[in-house]
Amino acid sequence: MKRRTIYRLCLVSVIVVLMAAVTGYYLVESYECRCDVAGAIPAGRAAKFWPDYSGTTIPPNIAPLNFLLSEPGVRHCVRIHSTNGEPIEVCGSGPKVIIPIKPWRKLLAANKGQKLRVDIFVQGDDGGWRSFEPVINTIATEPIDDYLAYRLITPIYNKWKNVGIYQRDLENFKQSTVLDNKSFDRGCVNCHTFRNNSPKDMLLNVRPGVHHDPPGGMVVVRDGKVDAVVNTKTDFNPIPAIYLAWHPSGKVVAFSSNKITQFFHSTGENREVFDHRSDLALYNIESNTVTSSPKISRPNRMETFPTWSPDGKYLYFCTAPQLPISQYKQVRYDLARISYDLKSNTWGNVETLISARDSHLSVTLPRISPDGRWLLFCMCDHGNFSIYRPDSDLYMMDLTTLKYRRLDIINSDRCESWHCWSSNGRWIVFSSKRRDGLFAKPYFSYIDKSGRAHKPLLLPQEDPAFYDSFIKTYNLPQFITGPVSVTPRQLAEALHSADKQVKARLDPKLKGRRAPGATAAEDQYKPGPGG
Amino acid sequence: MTSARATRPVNYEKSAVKANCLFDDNLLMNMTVTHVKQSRQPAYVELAATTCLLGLFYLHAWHQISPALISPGQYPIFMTGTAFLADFTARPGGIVAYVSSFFSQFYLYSWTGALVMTLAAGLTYVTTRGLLKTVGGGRSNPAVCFIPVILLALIYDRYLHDPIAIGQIITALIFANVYARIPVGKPLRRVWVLLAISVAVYYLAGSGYVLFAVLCGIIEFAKRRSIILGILWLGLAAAVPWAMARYSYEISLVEAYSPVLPLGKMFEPSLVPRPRLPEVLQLAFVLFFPLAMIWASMGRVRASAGGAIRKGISAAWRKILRRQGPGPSGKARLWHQAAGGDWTLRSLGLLVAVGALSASLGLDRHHKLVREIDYAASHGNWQQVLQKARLVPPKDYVLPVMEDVNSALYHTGRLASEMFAYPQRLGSDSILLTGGRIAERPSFHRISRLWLSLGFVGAAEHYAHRSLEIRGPLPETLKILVKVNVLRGRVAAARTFLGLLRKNLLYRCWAQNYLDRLAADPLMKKDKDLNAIRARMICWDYTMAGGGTKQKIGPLLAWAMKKQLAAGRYDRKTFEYLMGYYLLTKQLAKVVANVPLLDKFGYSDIPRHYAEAVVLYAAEHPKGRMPPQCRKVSRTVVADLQDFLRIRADRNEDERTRRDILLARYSGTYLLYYFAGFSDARWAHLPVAPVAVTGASK
Repeated sequence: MKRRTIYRLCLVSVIVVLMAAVTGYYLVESYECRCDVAGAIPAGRAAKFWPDYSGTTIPPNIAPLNFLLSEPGVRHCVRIHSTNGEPIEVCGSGPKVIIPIKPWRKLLAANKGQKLRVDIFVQGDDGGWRSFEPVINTIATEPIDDYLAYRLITPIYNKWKNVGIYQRDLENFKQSTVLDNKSFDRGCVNCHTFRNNSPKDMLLNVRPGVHHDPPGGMVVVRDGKVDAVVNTKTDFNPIPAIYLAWHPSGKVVAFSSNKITQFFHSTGENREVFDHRSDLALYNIESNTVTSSPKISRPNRMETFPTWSPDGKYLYFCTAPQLPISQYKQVRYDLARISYDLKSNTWGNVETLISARDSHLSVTLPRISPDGRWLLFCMCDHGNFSIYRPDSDLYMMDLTTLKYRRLDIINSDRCESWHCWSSNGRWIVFSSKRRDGLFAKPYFSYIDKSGRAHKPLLLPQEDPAFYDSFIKTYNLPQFITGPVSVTPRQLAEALHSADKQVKARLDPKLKGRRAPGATAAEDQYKPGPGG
Repeated sequence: MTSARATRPVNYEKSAVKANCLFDDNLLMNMTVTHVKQSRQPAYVELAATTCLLGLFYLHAWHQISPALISPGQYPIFMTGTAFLADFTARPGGIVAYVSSFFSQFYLYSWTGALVMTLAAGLTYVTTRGLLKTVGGGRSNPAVCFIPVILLALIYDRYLHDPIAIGQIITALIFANVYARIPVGKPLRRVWVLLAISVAVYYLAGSGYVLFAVLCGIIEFAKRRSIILGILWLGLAAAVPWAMARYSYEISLVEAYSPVLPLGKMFEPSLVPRPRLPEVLQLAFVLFFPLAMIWASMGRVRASAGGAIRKGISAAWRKILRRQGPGPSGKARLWHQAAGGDWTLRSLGLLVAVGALSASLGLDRHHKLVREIDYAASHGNWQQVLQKARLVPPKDYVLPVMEDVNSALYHTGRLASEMFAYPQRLGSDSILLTGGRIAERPSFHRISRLWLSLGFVGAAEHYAHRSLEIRGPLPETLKILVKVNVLRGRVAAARTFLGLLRKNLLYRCWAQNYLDRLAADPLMKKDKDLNAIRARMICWDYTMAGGGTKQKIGPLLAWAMKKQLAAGRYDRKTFEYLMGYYLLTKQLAKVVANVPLLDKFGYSDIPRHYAEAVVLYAAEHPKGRMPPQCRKVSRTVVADLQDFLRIRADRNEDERTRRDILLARYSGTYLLYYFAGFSDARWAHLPVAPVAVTGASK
């Protein structure tokens, strides 16, 4: 065969394959159900399927809620419809119900504020069809933020190999990497924090790997560019920044510096985290200085989990008396706040909003809605690491009345934790271990104007059987309004670049001061990824 | 076998005509014609010889190496499904890693694993032959081409090979052959080919690209006489991995050049401490190809230029590898001999002899023995474990072996009476796997398996999670996590681990079967293994610190076991391991205090080691109180102690003689362990500080 002929054949083959692929794609997209379910016999009950999306309020821009049908039969037919637009019909023989993405998005967009009805039919071995009670959901009018950023980790403890922060486009199923620890000597990356849900302004904590190259630090991304990698350790806080909170102005970052110990139990939840001590401080991005106040770094008390009110006038945090590790079960955190004036860098007085002495529970992870009305937080029996506490539940406080209540509809008998508000304040995301008690997964819940939470729905996946074999935890899910504006390579480059490394300076007023109880030996301290 | 040649004359002609060689074209043509006329060995001779040698390789791999011994680690992991594949397709070298991981699954059975090894050897031979022919002007000595096969066998012999690295090297060889056969065109076209094939090979083989590029450079220099392209290739070999490492930040420079520079950590953690010989072998294996090609190409230069020194080298080469009898004459013969030829009885015999010798000397028999013990233990062949453990030399008697032996002793009901007939480590390490030297430190999943069997479910889960993170979803780790979660009542989590295990080709059925059983009985209340663990499962909460702690784990575990027994949860394994711990840590009082519990486990008399501890305690504490059950100690044990102490105190003999007598007479007893710190005579060379025992002279 002549060479030219071979080339021609190759060209033709490529064209044929491309055409087949395009045709196949459109065939799948426009696939319509051909099942005749007209004479279906009502089963008199709802169909069994997982994840349970029934009765939920769903975002109008969410990816298709694919699910696994657990009804015996040889074939299924699912009809999804609402007031406006073309219904979607999906047929198949396996348990997986995979909804085509384009018709789904059209249907949701055309029916904001309407009910979404899902009719399920299953054909038995005898050829007859059974119909189940329809699944009725509500399509919210307010969209959810486009992206969700999270860390994926196995149920690790204090040894790790693969740690990375990823982002997921919530309108489809695309996941991409924000930063993977392969690019910095298998160190640890955690506590990704965004300013006002903006993907352009991000903070990350990076701890070095075994070779301490690169050295790591707090990565500051501002206006879509990597600003600096800040070593936040100072004489005042020999332990670098752990939990971060970006002031709405973007000028300062509140952080806690925690001396953490991890240990594990012989029974029950395996892991436990204990803070020997912790204090709050502020990092001023413009002046590259760390400052603090005795009011947020009190002797004999621990302060942690800082978060700002949306107007930036209050810093909310959790605080507990400093106790020895043997009394770890007695350590319970209060919820407190302190006023702050950015211009004059002055602090008001600490107010206790929830006293652990009264509630007999420990408050963790306060997060305030963008309108400043609602404060969402966790409460558990003791300690501050709610993700390891099966009894951790979500609570909501009305900041106008300072009254709080347990969000019964979204809590389970297992851990709920690491929550975040969407930019429009109508959605929350939280990590829950409700499915298996081991792997945390992100759940969304609609919060209406009266602060009422709606039944949560699990982050949908293209393959509805995805979670059946997925052995990682979605850690610290955070809403962002778009994809992170820096690439993984840019972040890695900054981490490796000496030019970007910045050593924070200590506020001259704090010279000679050291956070209560902090020792020089803590300079070498390196908490695990759980921290 | 005669001087007849089996090679195809057409190829020679082509290669000779197409080579833009430095030689006189007439000379080359004459030389080629000479070959064609004088070399008429039938192809089947080569085929038969190759088949025979690869057959021997297969037999060696099957019966000597036994790939099934490598299998228990199930490394590298392979899973079905697009998600697993996607991890590989997203990175350079991922495709070869994926394929290599797939083929590694065949190691589950020795005969299939040997087939995979032989396939690798066959591909190595064929590709080497192709390359040497390319640069050698159309011929290569098959015996030389078998040298990398022997090196490969030596690598396999060490039980530490990296299947992915071998896959990368073979891929590089295959593509170098492809490149050598691509028709030469205009320079611009060749550059395009170079770039296209570079991208393809780097994507497929990752760092195997380095070898590929070096070989292509040699092909350009030696075959096509293109200095610029040759330099370009060598430059790419150095630059591409460096650039990738610098650009992506996801691989280190060392990783970028591996397997050419196998300087990273070994792929499969060794069960026994070993020097870095496998890495040296791998380096030799990689370096062989460029060196052999340079040598083969030099043969062409020799053929054209001659020279006394080169003649001498060629003559020596001929003597080693060439047949006797008339060969090509003149300058052509010189090249012919230098570049190698075909099989002769002598070269074949020599190769078989070298191969057999290497296989015999290269096989790491002690490592194999340790792996055999591990394999037997994982299959519950306890007698075999004990039998083979006798053959392990002291230096390889590492913690994993001790753990296997103690398990075997427990399962055969001999732990209390023969524990010290096998080497044990002073302290809690050998009985509870609580530490050990870094070189011999047991894997996380081994620790997890032991602790789970002892009822420390929380601790077992902790170590299984560590194993999962550091070594990935190994089937053995997933199985432990399934059991842990069922025992903890987290059935959904157990199902998730089973869902992942179901994607493993070799454990799919096991996982599905378990899922079916879980569906029928969510807490597996009828499962014998789980019920055995439930019987000894720790039911109260206590805390343990994580890794890197100074907290003593051994005492903590022993405390928990003691508390378990004190609570009336009488479990034989808990009891025997606790007593083993007390014996190893020389806590005689605690052994004595627990002797009354023997009745709970149906012992008719006091087992040998406990009896030895009792008499030692009695000797140390003549006025101390002892439970009445301790009076059952046989007179033999009492007499042994008296004899032992008499010999030890005998001043008529020098110390060495006394020591030898004690070793000969009391090897394998607790008495020896108690005083010397070891109980096996083979460990006598190890320096052990003498233990002062109060009252021993009485």
